[in-house]
Amino acid sequence: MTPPSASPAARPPLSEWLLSDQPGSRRQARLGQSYRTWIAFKANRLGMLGLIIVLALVGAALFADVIAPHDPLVGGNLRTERLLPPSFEHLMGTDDQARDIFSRIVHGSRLTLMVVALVALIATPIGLLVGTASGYFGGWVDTVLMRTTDIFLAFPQLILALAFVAALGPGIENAIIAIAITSWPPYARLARAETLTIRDAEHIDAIRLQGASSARIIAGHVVPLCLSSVIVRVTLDMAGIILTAAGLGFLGLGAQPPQPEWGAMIASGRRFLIDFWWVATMPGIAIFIVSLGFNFLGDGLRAVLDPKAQR
Amino acid sequence: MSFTLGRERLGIVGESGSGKSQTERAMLEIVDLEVTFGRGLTRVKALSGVSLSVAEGESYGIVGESGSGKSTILRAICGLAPMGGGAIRLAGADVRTPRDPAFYRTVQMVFQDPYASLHPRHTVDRVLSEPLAIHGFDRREARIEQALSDVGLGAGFRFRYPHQLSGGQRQRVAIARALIVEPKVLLLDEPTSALDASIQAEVLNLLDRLRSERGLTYVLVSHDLAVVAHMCERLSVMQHGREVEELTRARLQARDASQTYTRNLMTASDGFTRAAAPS
Repeated sequence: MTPPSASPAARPPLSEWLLSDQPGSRRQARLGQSYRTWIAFKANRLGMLGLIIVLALVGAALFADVIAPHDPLVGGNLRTERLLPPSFEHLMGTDDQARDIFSRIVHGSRLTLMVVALVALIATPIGLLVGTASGYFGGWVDTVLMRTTDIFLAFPQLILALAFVAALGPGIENAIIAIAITSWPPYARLARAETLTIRDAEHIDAIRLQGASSARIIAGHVVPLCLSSVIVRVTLDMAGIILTAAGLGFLGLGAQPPQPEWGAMIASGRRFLIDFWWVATMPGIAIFIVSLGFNFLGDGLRAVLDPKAQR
Repeated sequence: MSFTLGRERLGIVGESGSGKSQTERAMLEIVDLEVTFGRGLTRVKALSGVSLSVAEGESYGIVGESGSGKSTILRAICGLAPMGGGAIRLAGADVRTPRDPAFYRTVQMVFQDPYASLHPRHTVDRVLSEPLAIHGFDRREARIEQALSDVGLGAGFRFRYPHQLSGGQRQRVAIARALIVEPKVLLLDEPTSALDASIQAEVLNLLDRLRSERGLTYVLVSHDLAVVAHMCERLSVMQHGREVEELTRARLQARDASQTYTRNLMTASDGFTRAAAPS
């Protein structure tokens, strides 16, 4: 798209409609704001790289059946095709069960994406709700909620996940629950800190004077202002969540064989690290690239969404 | 320098409002109001026994320096500051704590800082439609358009965000928001002190026009005697949380004050003069 500084004659009409300073409808105003944010985000190269990596992850997950050349679960000939080095036939080589590693990594991206998405979807609303309620109401509500948050915060994530899967049995769903219930406390703390500054603002006084209920104020006025920081924090946490899920998989407590979870692939490839390095290293590189992508994306979002980080 | 000159400086011409209260019944009555903030060593007595009475349709001013407690009176009326003692009566009835929706439909406030009183992520349309949604008004589209045109903003402003508006435009939106629920009493907390002089005059004239069109009751807080002289028929001078004196516009313009503090305030608001400065 042409940048907005181009002459009006050269500017395409859609861009002009979005950037109009007299929007004619709610939709136009909202889309215009999103477009301006997008333009600001595009200027950040690393952020764009992060976005491309994350989109590649999503694309791989969606089109795994099309992209993967071989079956991820069923291996080839166990006598001739085990532990082959990377080649044109097998882009990342084969593992000890003669399965194509590249296909397994592509299918494993589904599991990674599922973990990341579900943890974000579970932990973020809980954190926002607890944090904003705690910050807005203060008093004993604040005390009770914050002490509860402290209790959850005191659990080391991996240990709690271990306890959880020990109690409920191994499996990717239980790993997700375990990670989610230890991920929300920092978001609650962050939302509470933001709410404490927002709460005294005059526009909150103004809407209270309109007779708005506390629920309406929190949902419509406080949360939109907290959302930027929380989104940045969640994105940056994604990298850690991927590593935790991989760690659980490595310990055999996440996805179970023959599921192509990246952490489990590293665990099973450890034995061959010296002679057949690609079996453990390829999933390791995949984890590294995806974590890096989320970190870059989070930094890019922070540059755009956090007013304090600007200028 | 009299306060007529002050009005001309602002570009305001002519008397404001009808200056006549419709009935003798007090619309808003404050009796011995006390407001204290904090506890223990950090206690601050913001108001110590303030009493005033505003008739229906009247415009009442409250002047004083910063920290005199004038904004606290307005916040106490609205329920934003805790009442430590005394009574506040609206149309004869004691206000309930917490205030009920009927109160918010009768009394509205316009805040001082136009940059802070609008939510940064809401369009003007959202700002105006929310009070309508809360109180269950009908014909919302028509009311929003009417409110915008009443304050002199065109339809092109409806879907803008606050950062796309100037200070004067934001304050007009704040006024539109206060008036869209059709209140009877408008509390104005230094509505123009954050605006530059030419915009001040426009906003004050707008407020004047709306008051005479709708028969509203105003309580205007300001540190600027010229603004109060233009807008208000009666005024109260505050210092350190106490009422020093009550004046009428005529007495203010004649500089007829019985208290020393009031006279000093009038002298101070003339601005710096060499003769007045102590040697």
